[in-house]
Formats: sequence, structure tokens, C-alpha cells
Amino acid sequence: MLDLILLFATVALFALALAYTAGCLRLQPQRITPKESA
Amino acid sequence: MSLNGWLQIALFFLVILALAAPLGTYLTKVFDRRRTFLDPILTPIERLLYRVTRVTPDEEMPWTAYLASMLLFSLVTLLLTYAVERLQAILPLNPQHLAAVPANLAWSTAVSFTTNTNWQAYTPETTMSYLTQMLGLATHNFWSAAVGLALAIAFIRGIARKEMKTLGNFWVDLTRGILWVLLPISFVFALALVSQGVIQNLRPYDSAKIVESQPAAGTTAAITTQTIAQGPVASQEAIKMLGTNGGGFFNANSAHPFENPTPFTNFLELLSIFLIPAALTVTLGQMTKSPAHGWAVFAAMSVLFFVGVATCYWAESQPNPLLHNVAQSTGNMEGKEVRFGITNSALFATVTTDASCGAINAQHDSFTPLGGLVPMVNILLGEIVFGGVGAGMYGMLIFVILSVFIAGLMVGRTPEYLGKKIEAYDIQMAMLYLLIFPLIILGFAAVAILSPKLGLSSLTNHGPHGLSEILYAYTSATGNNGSAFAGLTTNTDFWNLTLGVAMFCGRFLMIVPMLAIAGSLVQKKSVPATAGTFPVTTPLFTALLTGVIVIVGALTFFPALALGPILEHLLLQAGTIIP
Repeated sequence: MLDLILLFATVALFALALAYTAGCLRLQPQRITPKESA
Repeated sequence: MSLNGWLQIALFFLVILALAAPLGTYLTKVFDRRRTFLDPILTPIERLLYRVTRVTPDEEMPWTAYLASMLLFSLVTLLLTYAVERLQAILPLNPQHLAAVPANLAWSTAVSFTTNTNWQAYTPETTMSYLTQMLGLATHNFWSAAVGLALAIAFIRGIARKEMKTLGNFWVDLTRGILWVLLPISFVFALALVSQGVIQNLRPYDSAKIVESQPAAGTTAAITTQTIAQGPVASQEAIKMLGTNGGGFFNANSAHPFENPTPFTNFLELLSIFLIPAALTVTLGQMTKSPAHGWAVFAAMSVLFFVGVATCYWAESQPNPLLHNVAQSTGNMEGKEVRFGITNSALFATVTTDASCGAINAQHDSFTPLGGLVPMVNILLGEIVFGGVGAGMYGMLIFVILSVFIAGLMVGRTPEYLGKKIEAYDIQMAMLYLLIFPLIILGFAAVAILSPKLGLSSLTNHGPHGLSEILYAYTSATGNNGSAFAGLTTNTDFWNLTLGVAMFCGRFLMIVPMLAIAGSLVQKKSVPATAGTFPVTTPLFTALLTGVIVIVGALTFFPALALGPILEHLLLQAGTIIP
């Protein structure tokens, strides 16, 4: 049982890292390439 | 302190200096996929690996895909180690018939080795089978070091490349780091260790009759035999040091005569910790086409190294003022191996915490308060003094970006770093990187200190030394160092869980903003240097970088350090200790 809990905890930690990455991505400004701006 | 001691420290540094350039050039060739002398042997193996794993080596990745691949790899290998630990009782290569590792300890250990921390809340020779040591732990010594190396190379590419979106291919960088760098050097290093007496076998443990029987604690029976642990030590020892992992095959780590038998093996082990991190400064200079910048970073690391080792060596050369009728002409020898002495114990403690290694050849808990302060400060500064394999380089580059930003603020110009403009997003991510670290350490340490049942009950020392032990534990875990101050029973649910989370967050939540910066820099175009550009190749830059590192570290951690090792030093000088 404890094995399963720790397995879920591990996956949850990695999911946290992904969510955190998504947060960092949201802060990233969108770059406008010269072609798009033209 | 002695002239002999200083000469040994100088020799160590000179050898590192001499090896940095050739190895750094080799690393550049390996990661630029240029020809090396090992290609005839390794290229067919590399191709086979890509074919089996269906990796397209020429397919490059943006930072998000690079990160996702790294996280996936880490998750899978973490679970593999956990499974091996839990199943070791029914798996082969377990001559001592050791039971399965308890779940919470297995989890903490799997996280620890995946994150290059190698914190060990257990006695390896009575807990881990040979298969677990080799398949569960030694493999991670290669993998986690190669991951760090790959990430540092990706970051350097982010600086070096212009108007691109990709940082390389994670699987290619990982594979080449293991095949071309870690495996060949470890192989040669392991043979050198064996030549000096480090053991390498799969035999059951030996039992030796001791010359004088000893009384057994708590019984009237006498101890007449001693169990002498065996195992495949040399192969694990080599990558343990080279990969800045630090997890010992034995509980005594590099103080054990089977891991580190002679002063020569001690010298080799010290060299192998700094070897790749020092070489990466040369790689930085070559890949960014600014060799002088690489050497400027090397110089900043060297300054911090010398300050640390000089302080630790001086502090450990002082006698303990509370021991009045004891000859202490050599200094504080408590917790140190006689064959290494003060110099090599202080040098080892400094080097192992400058880098994120965490191997020990002396007991840090027995150091004088100021001697013990040095390893702690080294980790708290972010282990960027040469640092862990890869991790030290990308950690240092975050400080470089911060330094350039501060220099830009001073003259009122948009800061530039090697032709790239440093903008708001880059600084936001750099600050995220720098703030997560103290948040985890101080947050968890506060929780442990405020909970008598969960945290304080594990302490065997109280007062400022007890605070140092708790602070050191979370510092070591979050910094992915793995060395311990000891005096703390950490094989409990609370410590295994909180230290595991600290190790995880200290590794992966710092990698995310670092790669985000690389992903941002790689897209930028290069602007030519002008008279207003702050040069990153001069002694002034080295001084600014060193100053920024020290000031950030001092501002963040000084209050905690003042209540721990600094207060303990003052009490000791006043002739008082709190037991």
C-alpha cells in the first residue's frame, strides 16, 4: 500500500515540475519575428 | 598549518589547472559531435543505442522538449531504482541475504540518487545488496552526472547560438556524455584505485577473528569476530567521485580503507571531483567563442576555492580550547583519519562541498565550528565553485547573468552577455532559480525546528550545533550534495519524506528556470559590443562575479549561520558548549 502511495507521490512531484514549467512558459514574452511583423 | 600542507593544496590546484584545457577541448568536441580518438570504438555503440531506442540524433529540441525528455528519463530511472531496492531480497547478487529496503527509505534513496544527491540515511553494507548497489545506485551515478552535463551544454548552446529555437537533443547529449566522457575516465580511474588496494569482488562478507575480544554493549557476551564487508567497490568509487555523486559503498564513505586506502587514492579522488567541472569552464569559452570568458569564470571559482580551503585548513589546525591536558600540536584531529591528517581532511571537505559531491573522508560534524562553516557555506552559495558535473556550470552562469544585469544597472544600459541582451524574463527566471533554493532550505529547516516530535526528536546535539545539523541536512539535500553533518537520525518517515522532497525540488525546480533562460537566450540575435558593453573577460568582471555570489549568499543565509556555527564558535572560544 505504501508503495502505491509513494508511486503516486513521485508522479505528483513530476507533475508539479511540469505545472511549474507551464507557469514559466506563461511568463515568457511572445517574440514577433520580422516576417510576422511585416 | 604547514608548508607541506600548503604545497599539497597548491599541487592539487595546479594539476586541475593543467587538466582543464585538454579535457575542456575534448568536451567541446564530444558535444559538438566532432571527431575524437574514441570514435572508432564508441560510434558503433552509439549508433546501435539510437537504433534500439529509436532516437533520431539529428532532431534537435526546444528547451521545453529537452526538459520533458530529462524529466521523463529521471522519472523512469527513479522508479527502476525504487523497484530494485524493494525487490532485492528475491533478486540475485545478494550473498548476505539482505531484506527488501523499507518503502520510505527506498523512496528517499531513489530520489537521492536520481537527483545526484546521494544522501544516505542508511548503512550501505547492511542495507543494500550488490545488485542494488550496481543496478540501482551506481547506474544513477552515471545517469545523474550525464544529465547535469547535458543540461550545462544545453545552457552554453543557449548562449552561443543565435536566433535559433533549439538547444540540442537531450538523448544524444546524455548518450555522448556517458559513452565519451564518464565511462572511459571511470574505467581508467577504477583500475588506478584497484592498483592501490580498493577492492572489486562479489564475494560474501569475510569474518575475521579479532586479536582482543571486546565487550558487547548491553550484554555480558564478548565480541570475538569482526565482519569485513566486501563488494564491487572500485567500479562504484570511480564514478562516485567523477560524477560528483558522493554516495559511499560503505557507511564510512571515503574514510573507509577499502574506498580510499592511501594518500594517493585520496589525491586521485579529489582530482576527479573537480576534473569535469573545471574543464567545463574551458568548454564554455570555446563554445561561446570567448576563451577569455571561460578563464574569467575559472578565476572567480578559484578565488572562492582558495578562500574556502584556507579558512577550513586554518580552523582545523587550531586546537580545541576545551581540551586542556591533551596534546593537540597538529590541530583538531577528532573525526579525522590519521593517514589523511588535517590538510587532506580540510581540502577534501572544501572540495566535496564546492562541488555537489558530498563524499567525505572526515566527519564534518567533528570539525571546529568555523571549519564546519566552510562546507555549509560552500553548499549555500549554490555549489558553483567548480560545482557538480554540469550543475556547477549552469549555477555559475545564473550568477554571471545576474552580475551582468547589476553591471548594466550601474551604468544605466540594457545589460548584454556575450552579445545577447539580458531582458526582464531572463532576470525573472534567474531570480526564481536563486530564490527557490533558500526557500526550500529555510522553510523545511523551520518546520523541523518547530516540531519537537518530528524534527527535534532526531537530534543528538542541542543548541547552535543542533541547529547546524538540521540546517546542514536541508542544505545538503536541496543543494544535491549529500554529505551529512551527522548527529541527526534521519531514517524516519518525517526526514525521509521532507529530505526527499527537498532533493527533488532542489534539482528539478531549479533546472526549469535555468532551461527557460537558455530557451530565451537561444532565440536572441547577437548585438555587436560597444564602448558601453560590460566586458566579461576581465579581472573586473571576475571581481564583480565573486562579489555578487558572496553578497547574495551572505544576505540570504547570514542570520541562520549566525545562530548556528558562528554562535557555536563564540561560545567555544568563551569556554562553553551546549551539550
